Amino acid sequence: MKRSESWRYAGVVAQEVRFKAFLEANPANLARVKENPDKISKALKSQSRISVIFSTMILIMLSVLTLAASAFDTELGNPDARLAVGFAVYLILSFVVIFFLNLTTTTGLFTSGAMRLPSTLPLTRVELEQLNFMTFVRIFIAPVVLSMVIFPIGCLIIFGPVVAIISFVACASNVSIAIGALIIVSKWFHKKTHQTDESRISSIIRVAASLGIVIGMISVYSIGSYLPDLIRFIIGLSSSMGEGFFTILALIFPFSFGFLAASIAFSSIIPFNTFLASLVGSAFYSLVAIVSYKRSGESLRAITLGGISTSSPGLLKEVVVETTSPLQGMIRKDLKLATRNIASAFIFAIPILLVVILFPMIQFWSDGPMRSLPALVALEYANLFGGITLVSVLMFDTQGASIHEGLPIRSRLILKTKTAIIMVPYALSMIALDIVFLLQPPISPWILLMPLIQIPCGYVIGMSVGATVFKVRGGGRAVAVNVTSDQAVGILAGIVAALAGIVPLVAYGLAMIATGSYIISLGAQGLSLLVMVLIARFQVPKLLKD
Amino acid sequence: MVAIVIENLVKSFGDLVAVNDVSLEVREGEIYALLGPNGAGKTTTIKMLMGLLDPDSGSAKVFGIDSNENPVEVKNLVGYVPEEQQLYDSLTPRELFNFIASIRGLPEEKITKRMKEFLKALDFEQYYDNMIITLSQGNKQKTMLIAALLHRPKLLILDEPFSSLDVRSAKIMKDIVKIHTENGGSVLLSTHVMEVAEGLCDRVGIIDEGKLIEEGTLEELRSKSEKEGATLESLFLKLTEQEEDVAKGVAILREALTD
Ligand SMILES: Nc1ncnc2c1ncn2[C@@H]1O[C@H](COP(=O)(O)OP(=O)(O)OP(=O)(O)O)[C@@H](O)[C@H]1O
Ligand SMILES: [Mg+2]
Repeated sequence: MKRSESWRYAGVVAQEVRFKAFLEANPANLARVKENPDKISKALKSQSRISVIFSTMILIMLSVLTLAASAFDTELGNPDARLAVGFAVYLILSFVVIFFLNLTTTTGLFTSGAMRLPSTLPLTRVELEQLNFMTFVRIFIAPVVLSMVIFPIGCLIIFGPVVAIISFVACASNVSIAIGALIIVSKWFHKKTHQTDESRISSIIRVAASLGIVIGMISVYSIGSYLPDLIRFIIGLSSSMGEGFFTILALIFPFSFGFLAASIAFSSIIPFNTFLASLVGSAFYSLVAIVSYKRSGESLRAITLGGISTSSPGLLKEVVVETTSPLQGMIRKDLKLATRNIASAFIFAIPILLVVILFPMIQFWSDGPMRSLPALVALEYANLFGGITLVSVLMFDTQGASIHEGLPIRSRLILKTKTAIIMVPYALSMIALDIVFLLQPPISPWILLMPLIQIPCGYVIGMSVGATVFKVRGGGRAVAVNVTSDQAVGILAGIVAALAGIVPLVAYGLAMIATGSYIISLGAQGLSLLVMVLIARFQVPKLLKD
Repeated sequence: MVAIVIENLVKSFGDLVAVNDVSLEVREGEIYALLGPNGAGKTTTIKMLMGLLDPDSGSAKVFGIDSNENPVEVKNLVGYVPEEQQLYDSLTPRELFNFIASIRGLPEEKITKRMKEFLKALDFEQYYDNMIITLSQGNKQKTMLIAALLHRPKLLILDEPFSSLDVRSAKIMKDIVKIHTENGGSVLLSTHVMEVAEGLCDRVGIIDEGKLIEEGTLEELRSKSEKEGATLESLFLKLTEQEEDVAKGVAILREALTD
């Protein structure tokens, strides 16, 4: 089979794989695909368009920022060091982007079994490997092509053709190694998340891995503001270690490519040793990239043909059925589901995300000590996040429809469960906010009490957002929703959470304007919250239906 | 007392009348099979009976409890195996059954004992700690059957329960259904497998295009359609007026395959 042919077939398979992975990601789609297949393909198209736009924006942002920093930001250090380190930082970040943006999809691919399609065709082993790799590349074509094009073009404009060629080789190697790593990690993660030895350790690993991934994603998105600092930090660190350190650095991936580029552009300044090291390093990593390309095809084939064994070996454990109260049982079930799915694990990272977003904002708003207003705004942000967390928790139930349908579960029990779950990240968010407030010392210590008083608002937000979603999407019955395909619900949840959560904050604000006293304002906040908790407890469940 | 009373049930989806004025009864201790071609309205009827869909008109009652008004109570009494298999893929059967037993508030010791018996009978022990997504189709179905039987319901409602069980498990399940009725329990099941309906059920109801077109014991159906000694399969085809279609379809296929 010719390469061009293989490429064409890979397009067909990739389409199927995307379709399957999309269905896999949301069982609710399975029901809809029968009723309205057009709608699904449309949703799929718009989803992939969004992710292309997203990747493009991130990669352009990274390219522009690194190139600008290395070419023009003279504060950061010598031009050669700037180019070398900036170049390498770009490679690292685009590695992370390719890696994290695609990790969930890739893990999904293994589960969906769609990659098995080509193995039913009459093809040789070599052809199959080639086809599988190309399919994989086609699925991730957008970030791959973009990362191989945008940065080299920038280099061409600023540093000339030789640096551009080096950057192209570097980006290509980077992509190949990133995809290799992606496959290995997805395989590992798929295995870990589907293995079920009950030990504490393995659930801790699962949660930690998901958290790491979520934090990885978040840091990519917020890296823009830290990027020059990162370059400065690496240059500073290396300079303080002495001249020889650059030579060592030049041996390390992906700095080798950076130093090679710098050696060409600034051949007069860079020491020969460093140049030599970067040359050796670049040659070595290009080789690794080629091997990785070869191995990935093989490894993909093995996965698609052999599947990943996830059955837990060892002794059979004794059969016991352990019961708890219905509420506890529901919570346990939801938490188990959460730790076994990267997307669900997102809820654990909400407090961290909040800090990452709010910290620079608060610094920006207040020169001098922090006053009440930024604190109120920060709290309102947390409310918004609380609503979104709740919808994410509602997503868990897209899985078990067949079981749910037969069980005598009252809608209010489901609402209570979801509320109980989100109260934890909400409370943690409040504590995280207090830490942020401490870092930007508040004008009065009383302000530190605001987040703590706000903690019960998690209950109000959970109940009101949940009940609204059930009312709108299920006519009052508990329903599972999927925000990735039903963004309207996500927006609705955000609005309801913001509206419900702002009431105590407004009470605080009004009391502050009227009296100027922190104690009275905090009292107003607490009192109005108490009323809302009572309403949520006794009135909101009346909206539900079994 | 009667286990199920369905009266003049109607449900339409847009222009399509999926269930059209269906009335039927399932008595206590009886196994009742709903038969009908694909899309006849069997699942829709069952879903309304479980309180999962609101009927346009008519009513469905389980042991006198209206499914639309009090679905939670109905689910307390019923063991239900739906047609589609959407289990919690990332849980293990152990975790799933712990969840179900907690929701239903079942006593730990008794359930553990019962569970062991189920697992043994269905040859399921080695899958108890494997993630559900890794189970085979038939083993998933066993999981759902155990989930439905766990609380010893007086009424079982099974939508296509035997479609992917192996020979041994299908036999055991049939025996379980029989034992269940011997102890006074009732069963409503929908199936396409004529042998199951013939060998297992006391009465059958045939639904076609949303209407209940025939109902009765096998004997009654035979005499109605004037087919002495006919199998249920041929009765079914006659009653749903598909005999000619089948002959035509086979002829076309034969041509296509012998070309
Ligand atoms: N949610 C829905 N929206 C639109 N149409 C529906 C919906 N659910 C069922 N239908 C339609 O109602 C009719 C009856 O469906 P039902 O599932 O009850 O059939 P069935 O007798 O169970 O068939 P099968 O033997 O294939 O399971 C079908 O034509 C089906 O397409
Ligand atoms: Mg059906």
